[in-house]
Amino acid sequence: MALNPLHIEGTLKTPLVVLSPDGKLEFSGNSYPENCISFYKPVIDWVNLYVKAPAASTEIVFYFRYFNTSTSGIVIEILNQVKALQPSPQIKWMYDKEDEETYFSGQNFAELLELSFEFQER
Amino acid sequence: MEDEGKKRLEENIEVARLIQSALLPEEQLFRSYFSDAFILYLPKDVVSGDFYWMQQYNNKIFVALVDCIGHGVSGAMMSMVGMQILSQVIRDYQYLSTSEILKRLNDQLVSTFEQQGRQQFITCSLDIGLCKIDTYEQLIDFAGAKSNLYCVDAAKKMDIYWGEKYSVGYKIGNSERKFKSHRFYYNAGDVVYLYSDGFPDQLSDEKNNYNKFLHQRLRNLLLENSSLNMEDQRNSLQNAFNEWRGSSEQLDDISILGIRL
Repeated sequence: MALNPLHIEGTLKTPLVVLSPDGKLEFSGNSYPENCISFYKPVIDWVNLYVKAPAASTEIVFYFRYFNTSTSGIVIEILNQVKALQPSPQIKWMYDKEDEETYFSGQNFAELLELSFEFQER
Repeated sequence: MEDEGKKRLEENIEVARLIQSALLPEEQLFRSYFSDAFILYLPKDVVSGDFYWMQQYNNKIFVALVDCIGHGVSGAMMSMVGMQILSQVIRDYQYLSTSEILKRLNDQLVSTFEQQGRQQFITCSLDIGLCKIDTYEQLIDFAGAKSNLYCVDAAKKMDIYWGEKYSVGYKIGNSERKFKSHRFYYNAGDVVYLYSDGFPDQLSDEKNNYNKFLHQRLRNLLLENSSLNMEDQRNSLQNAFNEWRGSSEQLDDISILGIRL
């Protein structure tokens, strides 16, 4: 069964999520949902299915502004899922100029999960 | 009936707030150890996942500012666990450098929740800035986990001591947590600041286009105010925060501790 794209519009508290079966996964905006687990459940489920039948290459783009610690857990979960993909996923970590915290968080994720990130200042 | 349940819960959380505040050292206590001090402590909800802590052993004063995962009741429960374990670790390892203390704090937090067998779901991870202040030598030993220390001298020069980029209290894979101690001499009258990320991460309302306050803006503000007396510094931070936040909600617990040495 083919995997459907998943598109969740962004709000002030939740990010824009665009997950496409042809290998592009994007998250952008703020992330501090009232209930982080339930907001991200469809995303985690989608990624679970995706890694079983991935595209030829995978690109993941994170462009967070404010995100809470529960979201960090979700990011780690997603990265753990895609970590073993072959070829390795391309991970782009974008952050606003001067937002050192978001930049450092990206570095921390890259280090923890032993993945290479491409950092891009916006 | 439902209203009554809600009221009982609110009353109970108010008691929790009293318990939490009874465990936090008063501003006055900081003032008795140092020239002057302020604490800006703004829980997002009634109780907070942030706490600050001070303890003297011999001629060393330990000061910590801690931000536990979560906020509200869950954050406050974590802060109780965190405070207890921090106190024990410092009591037992007071002769070690702050980097070694953070390493032991990390191990202790991890094993506390591992013993319950649910480590993969529940972790007591916390961000911490820890200082060991030797007031005779006028020497500070600082280590941080997702927490930095700023020191401003009489000439309004700010030195930044960066903490590690990761928190303590959780592990992923088998990577060993390493922490670095920064040691520096200070002069009487210098001011040091510790803070949790709630203040710099606060989003504005529409008049500032929902932007974060940012660490850089906080540093500028602290620097600008550093020669004011500590109470005025706290008030100025509080005003800057209110103005930035405007009509948007407070997103996280906030604490800033300033100490004039």
